[in-house]
Amino acid sequence: MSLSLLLEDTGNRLMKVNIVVFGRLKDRFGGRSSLEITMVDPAKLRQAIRAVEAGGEPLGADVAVAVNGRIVRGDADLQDGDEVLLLPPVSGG
Amino acid sequence: MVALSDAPIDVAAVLGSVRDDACGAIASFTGVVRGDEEAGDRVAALEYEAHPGMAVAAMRKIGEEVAGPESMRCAIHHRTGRVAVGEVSVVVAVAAPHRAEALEACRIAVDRLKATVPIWKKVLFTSGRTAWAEGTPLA
Repeated sequence: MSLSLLLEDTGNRLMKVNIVVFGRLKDRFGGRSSLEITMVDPAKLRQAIRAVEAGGEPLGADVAVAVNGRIVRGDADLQDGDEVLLLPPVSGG
Repeated sequence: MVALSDAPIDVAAVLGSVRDDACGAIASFTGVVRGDEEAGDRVAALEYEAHPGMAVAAMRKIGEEVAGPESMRCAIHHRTGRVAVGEVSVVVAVAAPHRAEALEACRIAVDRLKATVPIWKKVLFTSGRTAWAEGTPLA
């Protein structure tokens, strides 16, 4: 699955971000655990989330977001090749 | 001292890994998959998935927090993949000089494991139905 988020034709270069989902969020993507989105550089985490939510329900406040393995609160700058992790409530044990 | 694996957990080996001559107490928790029944449908197994890097880091952090004093030791092993009813899904072991701190640290480690480690479980029923378990939002 691949989504393109072209905000405006600024002539800026494109960058790819890998979205990885876990648990119940995989059902939302038809059982897939990752999808790649193409964004205009520079891009923000909030824009990537908006692209994932497009056409569906908002992710919900109980979903934590991490970039390259680190939990991020609020917005952040994304770089080409970043991995955005969407982490629903955890249920280990 | 922490491990995430799709292989069966050797409970005795985990307990043995925290043994220390300075520790007179080893407290442990063993989580076993329960054969619940729900509306005539019985649980057959749980299927665990994790973000391996974040999960191992979170388990290490728990171990460091609960076994802070140099005299204490903590081990946490968690399964991934399919774990059948009756099989061990997780083992937490804490060694301390005395039983009170070992028991308390073990309890805290299990509570934190359930709330802070990026692991998710899906319930597999004998009918073939599946359901994601409710969880705790990562703070």
